[in-house]
Amino acid sequence: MSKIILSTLCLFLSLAMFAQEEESKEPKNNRHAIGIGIGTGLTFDYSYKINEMFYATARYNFFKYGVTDLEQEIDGEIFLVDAAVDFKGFDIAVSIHPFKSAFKIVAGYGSFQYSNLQVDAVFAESIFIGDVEFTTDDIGIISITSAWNKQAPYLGIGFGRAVPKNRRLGFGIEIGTYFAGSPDISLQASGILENTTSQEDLLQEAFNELKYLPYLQLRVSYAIF
Amino acid sequence: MKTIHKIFCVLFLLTAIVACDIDKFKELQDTFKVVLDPDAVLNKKELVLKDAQTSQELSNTNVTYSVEEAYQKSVFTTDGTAIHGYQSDSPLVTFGLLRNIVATTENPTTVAITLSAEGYISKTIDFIFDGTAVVAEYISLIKISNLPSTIDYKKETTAITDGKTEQPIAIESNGTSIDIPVGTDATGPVSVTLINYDTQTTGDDFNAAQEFPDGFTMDNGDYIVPEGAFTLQIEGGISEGTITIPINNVAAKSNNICQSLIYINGFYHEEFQSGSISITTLKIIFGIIDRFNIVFGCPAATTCTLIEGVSFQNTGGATQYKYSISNEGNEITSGKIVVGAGETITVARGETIPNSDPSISLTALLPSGQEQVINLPSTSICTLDGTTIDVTASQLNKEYRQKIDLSIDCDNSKVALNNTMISFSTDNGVTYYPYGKIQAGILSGYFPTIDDNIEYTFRFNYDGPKEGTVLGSEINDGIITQSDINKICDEIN
Repeated sequence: MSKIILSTLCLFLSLAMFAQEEESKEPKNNRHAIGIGIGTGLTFDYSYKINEMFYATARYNFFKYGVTDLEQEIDGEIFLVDAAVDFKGFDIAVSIHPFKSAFKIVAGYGSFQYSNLQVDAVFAESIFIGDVEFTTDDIGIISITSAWNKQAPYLGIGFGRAVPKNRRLGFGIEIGTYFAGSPDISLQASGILENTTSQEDLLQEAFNELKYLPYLQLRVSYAIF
Repeated sequence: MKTIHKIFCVLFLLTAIVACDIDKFKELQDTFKVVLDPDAVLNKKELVLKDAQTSQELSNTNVTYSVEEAYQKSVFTTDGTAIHGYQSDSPLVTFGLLRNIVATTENPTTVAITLSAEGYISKTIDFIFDGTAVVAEYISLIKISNLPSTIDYKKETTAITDGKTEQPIAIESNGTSIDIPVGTDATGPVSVTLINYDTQTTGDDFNAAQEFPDGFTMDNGDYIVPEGAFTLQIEGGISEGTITIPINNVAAKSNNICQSLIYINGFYHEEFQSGSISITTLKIIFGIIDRFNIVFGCPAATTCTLIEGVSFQNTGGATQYKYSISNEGNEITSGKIVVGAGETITVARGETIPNSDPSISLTALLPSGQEQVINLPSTSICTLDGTTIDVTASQLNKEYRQKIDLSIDCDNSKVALNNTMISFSTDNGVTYYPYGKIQAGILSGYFPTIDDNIEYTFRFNYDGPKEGTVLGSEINDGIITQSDINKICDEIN
């Protein structure tokens, strides 16, 4: 599966580079563009061409996705899991084209309104303690919230100019990462699962590795003037 | 350009991998444990049953528990057995309210539970659930064959034919009598017990007030200075009978506002003035209530109500205390309490007591067998209302333990005993003293000092007492044995 995704990405990348190469045949002087991107979320942006080497971009990213009632085995028990990812925020970024080609290095700064991952898990079936039945509601819920820093530097590379060079329409691809630091993990539990909160340190340790938030964008831009 | 293409693909892969260390999460799948609290209930009461005369824990005595009708489906043992109809020969029984019942200090839930055992006077206790996680309750039952001289116990029975009693029942004690004529309607074999208490005399582990669920406080809040107190226990669903109470036996006190007063808890309340009536006969319809707690005397001239009660704070290791509240030298009530390490326990909240000369005393009962009288800022309990008193027993040595993990790994989950009391004994389980509490599977904090080279018997209760004898140095892994673990895991499925 990952190979298919990778191949698709590479194909798109090649198309993007081709598009940029074609543009160079009809010189124009576009300076402003708006764009829309899709990848690790949806992106709307505005870009300004400073010169042939530097472009400034302001963009709004959001990604909200959730699944519900996903059956998962946790510690030998069957749980129904609801998971939701909610990322929203603004970036300001500067694209640098060191070779004056479509290849670019992007440096920026992200400011997240939301940067949360929420996972709620409940027992899939009732359990009994002696003669007392605990329904899934009675048993309680395990809630894990992961929140990254609200401010994070960003670094990426890609192809395609933020403002199409010689045409109205441009394509691009960008991949990068936010250096968000380790997220803060909150583990809450209720009912007879309440003491599961003692596992918070374990979770925090595992999530400590998630210092880098990946960013992938396939972008279409339109030069407005 | 082809080279750049390859570089980009490699960078993409690299970034994806760096963003998520898969190994860490795989490891998490193995190490993350869902931790279950094995208690079916909250608001736990840990009963320690004792023989009132010997102060020893009841052994080989089958005790039956009966819960008032409204709460029969609400009170369960920690391992999920209904207390109503529960039978156990264990001196240690822990129960509480189902988790969906909310009880708070402001809105407590009071449940009357009757304890009956062959050969002992049955006892009805009002258990007050107020949100406190776990409270030790020391309950003394009086053995009929070894009655103190201050208690007169009489019992008669009769069979029934066609729903009517075959034999008359007539019981008399010191002028107080109950008569049930032959041919009285009944639903089953009839048993009537009259217990007459001398209210002025108390023993180490009982007093008359303890035998009455509401003590001597009436529903209107007045406190009756008791001249006589007795209980009637009636089984068989009798339709009616006659109780005779000799009013002229009640000593008239010039300072009291009444000549005499008869009060049946929650049922009957009548005052008699001027002594004009020498004998009053009460005719009471039975069948509604099967137990009467009857007090006669007069309301105290002045009373104080302990609105907030008196709070005892313990900064040492868990300690057992005996407290006693008296007026003019007569004990009104007494009892044993456990105040855990770092905990505060409030007693006498909402109680009304006579305040002509009210006093309170508190004694720490130490594992060494010694008793330490705790100095209180005032012995007048009415002046202590709403105060918190440091009652740490200075003679109890304490030691700090960082963390003893007593959580249990079952097949499918991890179980962490919670708010579970642990007691310890130095005499092979004859006498137990509080050691501490397991909180979320952990023992941590201050505990009574134990000697590494001495064997102790540790005990906790879940699905029956669990005992283990270990050297003091082996406490870390000796409290919960493998058989305990198996039983606890079996209760959760």
